[in-house]
Amino acid sequence: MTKGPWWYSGDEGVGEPPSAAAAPEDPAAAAPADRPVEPARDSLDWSALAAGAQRLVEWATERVVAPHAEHDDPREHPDCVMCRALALMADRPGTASSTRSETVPDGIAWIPILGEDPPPEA
Amino acid sequence: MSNRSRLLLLSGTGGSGTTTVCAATAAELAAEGLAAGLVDASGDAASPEALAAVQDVVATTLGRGLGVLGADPINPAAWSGLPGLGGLAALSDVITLLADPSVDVVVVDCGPIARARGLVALPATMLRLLDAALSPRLAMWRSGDGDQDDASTIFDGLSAARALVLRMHEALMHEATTVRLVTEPDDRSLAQVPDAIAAFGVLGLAVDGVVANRMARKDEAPKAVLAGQERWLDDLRVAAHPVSAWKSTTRPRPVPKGLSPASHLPAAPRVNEPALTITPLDEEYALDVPLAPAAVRRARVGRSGTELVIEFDGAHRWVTLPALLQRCRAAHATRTDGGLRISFVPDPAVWRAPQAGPA
Repeated sequence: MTKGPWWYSGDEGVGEPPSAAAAPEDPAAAAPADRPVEPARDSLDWSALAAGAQRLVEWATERVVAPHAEHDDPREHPDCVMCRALALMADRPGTASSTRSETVPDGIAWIPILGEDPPPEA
Repeated sequence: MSNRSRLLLLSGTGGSGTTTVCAATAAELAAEGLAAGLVDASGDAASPEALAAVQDVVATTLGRGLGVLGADPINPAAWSGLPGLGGLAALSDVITLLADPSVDVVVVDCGPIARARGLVALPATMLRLLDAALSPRLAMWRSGDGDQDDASTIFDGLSAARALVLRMHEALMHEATTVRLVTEPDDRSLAQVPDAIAAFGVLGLAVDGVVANRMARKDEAPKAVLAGQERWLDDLRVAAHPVSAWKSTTRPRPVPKGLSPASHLPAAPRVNEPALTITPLDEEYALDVPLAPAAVRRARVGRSGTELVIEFDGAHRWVTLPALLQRCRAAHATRTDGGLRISFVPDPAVWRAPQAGPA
């Protein structure tokens, strides 16, 4: 029988399971011997995903984070992804870096009170 | 002042004899020839009819909603233990009594301050949730081609719940509703009074009196004790300002003779829409939010979309901004003697800039 992906619960008469070609490989072969394989996730290759994520982090560190470390003013480096993100955040009204007010995670922009420090977050 | 029956909520500093003062207040009203309706909202003592009605609404909406998602049927009685349900049932009793023309004053024992604050904030919180739930998308679902029975039942159940909760909210926010605090002569109780007055004000309820309960009578305590008690009472009057404080000896009658529980006393400021005043200045608008002294010192204000949020000691009040101010941005706030003054500057993204005059 063709094995479905990890999210397919089985043949329940609702149609054919997706093709095996679309499913990730069986992780049992790739999983380290000292780590038990979770039955419910038996077709997801965790080690391959981890390796991919690690490569992504290395690329971001090398190409984005390291160059940005030398940037003082975000507005002077429009070609830098992190500087552009920081500049965008600074332009948004009500963000923490705005002088107008302070935004807390619940969506309330606290209004600064004259003569006092910005209110603490809720 | 409207003709609606007076609603008097009593809350105490914990073990200070709130229930006794409630009963004494009703007795005092009866002695004056007025009919009092008593509601116990301090525990789960709402009437069985109110509890069953609230359970039915919850079971109809939540239970049916879960059923649509595949859950097994749930007995309506199974919802009875949900937090807040007892409070809603008690408030349901309150609005039933307020609608009774033979009742002059409805007196509610709300228990300790923390519980009372939760009780009076409950309808407003539920209204916000129900307004979010009753979205246009849900209305479209109701009128769509889906499962008409379930969709209609859930939508109608939510609508009924909203109508019920709105009546509770309006009853609490009414100008003829006040809170009366009950305290006893110790410093721990005294310390709770200013914050309680301010927090109820932020929640939209005016405190109109503080009862200093369990004060010793002149013939039952040494002079030194009586002198200390009087000093404590002086401190209480300062702490409760601008609210009146009066003493009550448990015997022979908890409510002093001569003070009518039905009288309208000077009350602390409260946050409600009519009390928010807008003053046009040169290039901005000033919005004044009246607050009790404790909140004047420590409250903060914020904005969330078209709403103004006032926060004090964990109590939040959401007030829809007047349309004029919705088109402005809040620049800053200032603490004044009577509250907070918020400066709103016209938002250039919404308002057209004034044209330059002829050269």
